[in-house]
Amino acid sequence: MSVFIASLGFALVSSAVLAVAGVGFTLQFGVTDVMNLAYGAVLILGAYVTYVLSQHGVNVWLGLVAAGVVGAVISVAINSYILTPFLKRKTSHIGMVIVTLAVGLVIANVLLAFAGPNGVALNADQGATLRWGDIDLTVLQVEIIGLSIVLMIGIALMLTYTRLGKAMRATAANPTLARNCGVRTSRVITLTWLISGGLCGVAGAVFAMNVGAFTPASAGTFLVVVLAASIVGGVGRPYGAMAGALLIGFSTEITAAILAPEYKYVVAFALLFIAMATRPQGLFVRSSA
Amino acid sequence: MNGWIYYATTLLVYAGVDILACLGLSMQFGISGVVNFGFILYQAAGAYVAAVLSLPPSSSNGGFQRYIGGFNLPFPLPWIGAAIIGGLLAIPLGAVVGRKLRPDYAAIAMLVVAIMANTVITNFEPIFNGAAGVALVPQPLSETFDPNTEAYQWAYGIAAVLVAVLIYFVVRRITESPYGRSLRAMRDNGDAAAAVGKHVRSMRTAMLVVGGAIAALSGAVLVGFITLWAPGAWTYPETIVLFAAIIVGGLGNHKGAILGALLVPLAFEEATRFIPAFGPPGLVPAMEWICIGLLILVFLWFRPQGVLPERKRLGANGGKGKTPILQSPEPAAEAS
Amino acid sequence: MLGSLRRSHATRITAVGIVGAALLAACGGTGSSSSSGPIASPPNLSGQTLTIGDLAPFTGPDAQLGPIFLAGCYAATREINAAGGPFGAKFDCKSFDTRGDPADAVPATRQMLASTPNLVAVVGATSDEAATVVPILNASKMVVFAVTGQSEFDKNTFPYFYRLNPSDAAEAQALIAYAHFEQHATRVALAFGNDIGSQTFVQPAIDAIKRAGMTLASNVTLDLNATSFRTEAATIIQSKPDVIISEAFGPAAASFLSELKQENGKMLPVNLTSVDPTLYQGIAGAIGAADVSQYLIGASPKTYNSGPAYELFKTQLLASASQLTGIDKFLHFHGTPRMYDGIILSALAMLMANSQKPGDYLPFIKKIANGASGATVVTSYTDGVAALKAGKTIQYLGASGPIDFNQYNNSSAPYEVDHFDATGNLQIIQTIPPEQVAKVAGT
Repeated sequence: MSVFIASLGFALVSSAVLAVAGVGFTLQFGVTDVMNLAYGAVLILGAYVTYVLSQHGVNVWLGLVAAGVVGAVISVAINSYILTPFLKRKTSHIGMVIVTLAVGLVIANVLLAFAGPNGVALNADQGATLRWGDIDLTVLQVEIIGLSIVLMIGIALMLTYTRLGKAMRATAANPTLARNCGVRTSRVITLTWLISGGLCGVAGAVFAMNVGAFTPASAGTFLVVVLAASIVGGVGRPYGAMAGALLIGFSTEITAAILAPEYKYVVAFALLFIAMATRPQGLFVRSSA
Repeated sequence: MNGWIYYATTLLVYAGVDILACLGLSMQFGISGVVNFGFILYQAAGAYVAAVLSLPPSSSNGGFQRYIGGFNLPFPLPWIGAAIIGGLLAIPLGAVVGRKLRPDYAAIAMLVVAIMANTVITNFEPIFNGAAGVALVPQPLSETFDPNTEAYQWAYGIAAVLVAVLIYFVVRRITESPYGRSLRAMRDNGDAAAAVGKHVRSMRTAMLVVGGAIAALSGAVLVGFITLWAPGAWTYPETIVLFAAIIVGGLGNHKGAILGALLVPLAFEEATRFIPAFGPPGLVPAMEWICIGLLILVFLWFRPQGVLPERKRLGANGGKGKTPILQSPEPAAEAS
Repeated sequence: MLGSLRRSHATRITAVGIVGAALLAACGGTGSSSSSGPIASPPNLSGQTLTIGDLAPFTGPDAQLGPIFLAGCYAATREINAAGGPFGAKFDCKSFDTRGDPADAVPATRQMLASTPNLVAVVGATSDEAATVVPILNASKMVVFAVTGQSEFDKNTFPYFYRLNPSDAAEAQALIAYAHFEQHATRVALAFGNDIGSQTFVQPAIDAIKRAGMTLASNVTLDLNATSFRTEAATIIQSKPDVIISEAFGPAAASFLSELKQENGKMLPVNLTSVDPTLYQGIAGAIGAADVSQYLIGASPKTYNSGPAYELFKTQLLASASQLTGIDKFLHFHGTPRMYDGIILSALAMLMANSQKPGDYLPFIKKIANGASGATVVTSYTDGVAALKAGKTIQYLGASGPIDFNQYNNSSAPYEVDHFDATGNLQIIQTIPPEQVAKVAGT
């Protein structure tokens, strides 16, 4: 069995989880221009929602929907009650980052106070193991990949064909112009938080399904990996985030396979740093700005 | 012996260290608008450098720990060396993120560097002994004086505070000079500053260097006192505490940074030690972090200028109680 | 998201390096000078409270460690107070959080020493903070009991520092000996985390594998911050080990083991270091109770879970349930009865010294633990008080078994192999014969 080939299969799963999280982050960032560092805390909250429900006998897929709803509601609330008031006071980009950092700190530690520091495991039924040569994946992993693909296509269709999607893109490109053209930007922004928050919660649920165990602290490391996927692909560009998720997912697993597993996240972080330092507009977009 | 005296001298040392760290951050963030979420990395670098400059070679002590260097240098060379290396370390990063990157991107880039460095130091043992960290760091002048005496503890505490005072005068000197005016101009409106010929990029790098050297000095002072430095001491939430401190104390104002250092990392964190434990273990500390988060939010909302606001200056955009770095001419949501 | 973000790592209690030689000069002279014999008459402390400090992480990645010692402290103080307490004083326990951060540990220690005037002994000092707090405690003449594993304490010279368990290297060697002599393995894989405790196992384990004439199939280091270890598991499976030696590194262990099972199709034999009962729920959920019982074994320093001292410890621990929720789980942590024993030893030593001051009672700790020939063996504080009143010399046989401090204040015990039964309780399979360990240890 080739570990290298096998790692490609795992990379696909990692990428699928990252893609859901990354697209949510990047959609929200692209439209609202707020770099939301509370995203990791909301994500892990989604993981705990799925976990707590499954402890009460609720099916994990229902738990996933519930996590999405919780993520959406919390995200809209954060935007309406905290971020929008700060933005109305003309808070700068960096001011907003500090605000979201503080919000994330509060959410993560409220979760810690309730859930405690010890790890919990969702232990979702993985199903049978399917093999293609050296690549083997469980049924659940294939389902996660499938779900991720469906969500990605859904987001792409929404952005391309729906009025909301077009309004989102217009708001992302130039909010003032969009408003002058009759787009109700505040409504678009609220809906963006709703959708991206839902994706964030769902990402938490698939994260919980894919990993063996997690703690409230898992959010932090995973947030940086999500940032890596979102930013490498081009900040605020959903398709870039999808590509970024693949790049980060594959580079971390291949590093673990052929280099040294303890450095796998270093590679993700290094890619992120290089991307920010050299091409802040993203690796996969033509240099323009 | 009186335990309270030792506790008091310990707090004096930590006051000096926290004030130094906050002054470095104040120089970067408060005065110049350079946002460095990886600030703790420089404190760590200073501590490690001071440790390996003052330690004997790693083959001593039975070789139970591995580290580079081991130069056995006498005090104060390890502190000076730490500050120099801390400053130098900022140059390559300044070259990368010091350019005109949107401040929130730059902040995240620095955060990533700090996390990456912590992971590498943890995993790659030969540099600084991995997760266990570098131990048995000789205390300054410990071959002449016994570090366990009250007199030594007082002397260390006073020395730490004196270093902080010295650095306060240095940063105030910079801030009050014409160069300081350029720094504030860069913070308040980088494009305009560039347009009138201020070299924004070199100023950003200079501030990363100055802040980095001060942070490294704070690490050197700290490690000389606690004699151990390990990755557990510089996880990135430590940076958040320092940001909270200067936001509470007052941005753009070194006295505010000093006040913030005394209020947040020192008074607030030490006060929680005296809270009797209740609830499950870990509840009180979780509440502590919640309080730090709320403290940031409450201050940003109700008093963004901090307890000690920046002095109004002619020509600066900071008048009317606004805090320039936290406000943009246009709402962030509409900047592209 | 960010505040609690720290490494999540081993449940093991280890200590970083304190090497004796260099410190001998600085610290060796700080031993008590006034304590060559008991003070003439006992003090009257009725109405006073003597405090045991639990100086350990209660937050951060090792937050689970502090309560382990606290549980032992509650049980011991209950036993001591029931018998009246030395000189009429009552004992109580107070916790001091080091956050597992060496920089936070120093003010925590200083604050403890300052704000606790009747502090008589300290338990705790884990890997995260020992290197900074043990020298302070020693210089402050404060007795400290620890259950650290790291080899650097093997030649400890801090007179106030007592270690109640064997070193990590011995644990690694015990597991290798078991793999060689009992499991008849020829290919061994190592999978350890990147935290402080884990890496100290690796080199002794590799040396022991060589000495046993076995093959090191693979040696994988796991980033304990990572949330998934599929590629790591695949690397190990590909190296075709007969046995995997790994570590019970908290939440990551459940991820790693479940992914190992998934990738291999079925579970592989895994010998774990640092096994404790809290591990069970996570891994039983991850790989199934049957596989946990069949494939996993753990080694731990031998503790007695029978005998009068243990039964009393158990009674006192369970009676303290109102002070710490879920206290019953600490019955199965070896750190809990050991700290219980340390505190009982201190209280008995105080009686012998006619003083509650650590500097005075220090020399009697070793005397009571090791025992002189002809000493009366006691298994409780109450019995000890009675025997001392009758003018006898005593030896304390602890809840965790016999305690025998060597010249470095280290007490060692043979290792035992445990496995989880179907209900998640740790059951002893056998004690590893010391001569087998000696063979792979090359001693």
